[in-house]
Amino acid sequence: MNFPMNLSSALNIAQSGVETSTALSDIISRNISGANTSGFSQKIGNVVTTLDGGSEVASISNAQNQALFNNVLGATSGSSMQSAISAGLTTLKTIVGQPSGDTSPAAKLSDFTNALQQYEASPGDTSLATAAITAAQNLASTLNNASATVQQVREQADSQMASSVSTINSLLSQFQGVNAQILAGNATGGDVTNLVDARNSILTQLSQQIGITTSTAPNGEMSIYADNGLPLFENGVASSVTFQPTSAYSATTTGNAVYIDGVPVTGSSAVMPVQSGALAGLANLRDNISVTYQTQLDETARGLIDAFAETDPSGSGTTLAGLFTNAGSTALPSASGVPGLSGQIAVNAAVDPSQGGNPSLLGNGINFNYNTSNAASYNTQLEEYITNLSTAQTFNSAGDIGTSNTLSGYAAASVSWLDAQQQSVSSESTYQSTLLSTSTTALSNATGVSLDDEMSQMLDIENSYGASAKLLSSLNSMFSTLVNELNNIVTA
Amino acid sequence: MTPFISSYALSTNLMQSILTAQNNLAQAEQEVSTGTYADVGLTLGAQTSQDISLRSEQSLLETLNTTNNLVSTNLSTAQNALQTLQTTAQNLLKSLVGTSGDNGASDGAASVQQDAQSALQSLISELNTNVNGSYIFAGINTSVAPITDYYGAGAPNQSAVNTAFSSTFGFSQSSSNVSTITSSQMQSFLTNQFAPLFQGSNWTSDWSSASNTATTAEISPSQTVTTSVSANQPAFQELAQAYTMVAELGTQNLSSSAYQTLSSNAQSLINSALTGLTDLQSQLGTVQSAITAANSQMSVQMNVLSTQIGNLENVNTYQASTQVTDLQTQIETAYTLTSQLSQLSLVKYL
Repeated sequence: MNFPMNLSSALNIAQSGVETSTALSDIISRNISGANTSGFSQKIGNVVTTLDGGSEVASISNAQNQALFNNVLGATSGSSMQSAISAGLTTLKTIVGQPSGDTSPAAKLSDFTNALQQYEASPGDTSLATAAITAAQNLASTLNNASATVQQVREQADSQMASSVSTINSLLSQFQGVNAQILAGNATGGDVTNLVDARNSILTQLSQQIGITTSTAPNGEMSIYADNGLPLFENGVASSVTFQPTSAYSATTTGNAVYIDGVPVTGSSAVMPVQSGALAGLANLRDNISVTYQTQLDETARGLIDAFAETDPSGSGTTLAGLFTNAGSTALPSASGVPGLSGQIAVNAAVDPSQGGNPSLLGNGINFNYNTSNAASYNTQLEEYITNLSTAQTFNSAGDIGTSNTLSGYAAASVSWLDAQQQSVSSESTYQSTLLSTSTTALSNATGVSLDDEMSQMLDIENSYGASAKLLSSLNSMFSTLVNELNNIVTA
Repeated sequence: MTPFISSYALSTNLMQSILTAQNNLAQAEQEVSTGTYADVGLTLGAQTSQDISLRSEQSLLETLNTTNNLVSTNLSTAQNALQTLQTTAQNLLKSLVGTSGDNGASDGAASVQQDAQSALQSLISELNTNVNGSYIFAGINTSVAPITDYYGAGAPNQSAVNTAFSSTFGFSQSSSNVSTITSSQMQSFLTNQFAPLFQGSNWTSDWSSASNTATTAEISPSQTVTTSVSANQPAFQELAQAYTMVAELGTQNLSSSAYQTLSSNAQSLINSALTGLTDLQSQLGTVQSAITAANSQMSVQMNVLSTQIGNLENVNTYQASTQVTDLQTQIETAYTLTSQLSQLSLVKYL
């Protein structure tokens, strides 16, 4: 044995044992306090042996699993994209309601057809004419409301995009600060674990808004890229994400694109659009889904105006809008479609009793007089309308639900389209949220805190603290004995 | 070393499973109580249009059923009127035949004339029958009573007859001179002056405002039928002519030979009209049976449609209620587990 052992070095070692235990129990209490915080990672004290044989907590690291964390980021983006679309679709769905609920344009069209059929069977009955006009007004106002709802959904999506963009910018600037602190901490060997947690939390929040990927340099500096590859944060500098919100929407409004450093990432001008996150979902809702649905409503309105168009019986070939008009105009809407027509379709004032009109003109002709003999039960024109309603018409292909259909078939197909969208979003949403919950659980198990685990570690630490303390007290008595002996020798 | 389950994951897992189960429970309960899917559109997706089309087809058939009832009412009313007209015509025919050999002409002829007057009134009132204010023999001109009342003040049909009579014979029908009218004079008057009053433009200006266009109605999605007969039908013109002839040409004062001529003319007109009435009755009968057939076919169709709608929208209630029970058990288990897991902590044992 040639180690230079003495009492004072033993005292130092025992003291370092007490200190290490204290430091470790500090870490355990930090872990326990964060046990139920989502995104909190378990802190681990790295205990090393000192040169004099004692021990110390050299550094604190946190449990990390980059692969699982990336999964959580991806699932968060996917899930929030689906929720954004799903929320918009739920609003759109209020237009159509349930098939049994009789609220959709298709159901109102069916009601109107029935009223017309009844009127056709008793053309002399003015109350049935009034009932048919009322049903027509219900149909027109249902289409008006539907169009307004669609534009409201777009408006809402636009303002949510604006708030999403401002959230992204604020998160990026927070990220810049935290990232710089981590760099500095790493350089000086400080405890950066809480900062890393904070940085991860920022990344999770960011991934709700926009799909991201990250890469970390050896010095701990992190770069963030949007899922289309554009850098959001690179070399310590945050990109500027810009968006000019549009406050009021009509069917002809095209929403502005979101730009990352001047490059469009949403809308038709984007070469590489963002794929996930709330931003992508909102842009899809605003620029595709509601636009297509609006086209379907507009085409339904156009088909309706066409079906009730009146042709000059004298053979001049003039055809004018009859029962249904584009905001009162007698001109027929263009066959290629009029954006926003469903918001403007109205029942001709000439047949509206509340505006001083005469409902019987529906059967007798509004612009022209078909009932030249002025017979009360003239119904040839009504029969023609009923035939028109059940004859196939041509619709704009932009409606995405076929180009040739009867009006009622088209209206029903439009409901189907919306329900199919909702169905696919709902199942995708279920999948994404399951994925998110699974990855969050996996990440939490890999990097989170188990109270039981911490408690059993605490037991170990208590024991080693007790042992070190006991050692200190033993050494103390040994010193006392030694000092007494020396005193005795000196006094003797 | 076995990897641990983090405390956070342990508690959130259970919490999430409780939330999911509660959502599903609410949905399943709704499905049990309504018997249909909680969100039919969401469940059917692209199939919803089928559901909507079936529903609109069903409501169209219901509407047609309702309108068919209305049409049927009109048709049976018309049939009843035609039946009454037929009976009246036959009765008058009997009276005419019964008095044909009567030389004196006075007593029998007077009662025949009265019969004819009431027959004419009955003809006018039957042809002016209306259902809910809509005149069923008016063609499509249903808002106006089709036949002008002969006995109304200033009736154009009556004055036309009176004018024709007085301008031919030089005296009115009530004059005692009518007994001087010979058989051949009477025949000539009936053929040349009297008959044209009941035909062509005279009929439409003096007698009838009915439209020749009959009303039509769609009785099934593919079938449109004529639902009325116009008062301008020849059978009605013949009846009006025969009744007016007997009722209004001073019949009771005619000489026996003139009476015979008048009577035989009236009889042949009534006979021809009776054939015409039968034709009209069978014409309406055909439409009635077409409506009955359409109704029964549509009721079969509606049953099929209800079944199809049910197939699309209905849940298996047994399955749904089993699901409710299962979910309740699941939620209770989760509650129990939550409470037990909270006990299961090392902290309790230190």
